[in-house]
Amino acid sequence: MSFALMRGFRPLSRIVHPSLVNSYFLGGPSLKSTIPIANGTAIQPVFSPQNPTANMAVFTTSDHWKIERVVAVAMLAIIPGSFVYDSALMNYLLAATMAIHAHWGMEAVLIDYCPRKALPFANLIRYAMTAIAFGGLCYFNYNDMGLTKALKALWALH
Amino acid sequence: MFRVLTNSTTPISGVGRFFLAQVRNATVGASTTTAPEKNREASSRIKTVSIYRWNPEEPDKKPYLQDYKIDLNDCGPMVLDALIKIKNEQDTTLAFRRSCREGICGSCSMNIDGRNTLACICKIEDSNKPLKIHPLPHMYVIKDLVPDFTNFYMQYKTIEPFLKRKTSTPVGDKQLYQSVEDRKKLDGMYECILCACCSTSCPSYWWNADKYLGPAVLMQAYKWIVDSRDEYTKERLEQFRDSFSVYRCHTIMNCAESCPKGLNPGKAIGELKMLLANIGSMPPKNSSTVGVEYK
Repeated sequence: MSFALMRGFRPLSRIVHPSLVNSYFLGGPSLKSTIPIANGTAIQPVFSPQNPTANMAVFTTSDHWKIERVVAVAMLAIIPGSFVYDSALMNYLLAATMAIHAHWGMEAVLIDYCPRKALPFANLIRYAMTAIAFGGLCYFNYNDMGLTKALKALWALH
Repeated sequence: MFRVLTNSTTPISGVGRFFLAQVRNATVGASTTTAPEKNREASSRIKTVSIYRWNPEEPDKKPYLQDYKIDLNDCGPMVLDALIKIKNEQDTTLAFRRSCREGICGSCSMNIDGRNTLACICKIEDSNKPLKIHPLPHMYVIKDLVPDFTNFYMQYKTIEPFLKRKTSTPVGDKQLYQSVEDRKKLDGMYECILCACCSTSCPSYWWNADKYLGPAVLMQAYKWIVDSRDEYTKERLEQFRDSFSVYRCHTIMNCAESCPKGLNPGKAIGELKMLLANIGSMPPKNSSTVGVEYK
């Protein structure tokens, strides 16, 4: 009863991640074992596999994070660079990095603020929006004056 | 569990109360009886304290703020002194955690005037504004100012916060030495008292508390990773490669802002990310200086 009160009458699985529930509290049954060695014993616990996908062969979030940073730092050079060396290559590079940067930024926003049930749908919209944005920017680069010139023109208006 | 709760929130023990009264009298000067009583009345500084109240035995009643009026001239300087005074003299049903009253146990973490801090080392502001006290934000409340730390502690448990060795090390036989330089790497991390002020001030932790470990736990994880005596560095790192454990940190830095001990969990998480991405190099562990024989 007191546990129920502590949890505010919510099922435990809604408060903590289900994988954490198996050993309920600090004093609960543990996966760790003490291994007897020559002189006495030593506690030599082994990590329980929390995320089975986490091995080097898989593209993990830490790799993703690294690429995000690389793109963000590259943009620091690409944005002013596109104004200095105004070329088709720079226009497309600008379009691609802007689209992907916004795409990843939105991912972080959605994970934080979107209700988990709606997340797959929201991600669908996110992919569609990125595709449209990138497609639109490429279209503009190909058929019109290009991103850099457009931005320069916008600046000249004021 | 519930019994522990009621025990921990019963009025301060007789001895402690006597001691507080002594200190108070010593600072004010012998002013307990006749003439000085009047002066104290005249110069009374009344402060309103609004405290978040919720009683689990009345689950239908919504949480509300209850106002208490205390005289600052007749109260210790810290917020915890005010809380203890209110509990002793005005409302014994008020529930809050406290233990050491000097900022080393981390029991009395709460949200005071919109900032997470320890009530025992937070001074009462001497102004007419009411003092607002809430429990730690986005935690399940057990009663009044007592939040449920179950999730927080279980997250702490998942990082296995204890020394792990691969070379067989007899326990309880000899000290396991470490060089002075290696010990210095733990400064700024070992001081953490797990009061959860940082984690509960982190918006990312508010939205994803079930999967994101939060600054307090991650700083401790990093502490065990850089400890030269620990030999499970790689295994420890591997458990953070998923998208939630670490990577919900967006360097908002509320953690460093709110830490009552002045630590910087955000920096530790940053260094953890660098290690995970193989950008940063591990501060060299001088394992030759680790062992029972090293002096």
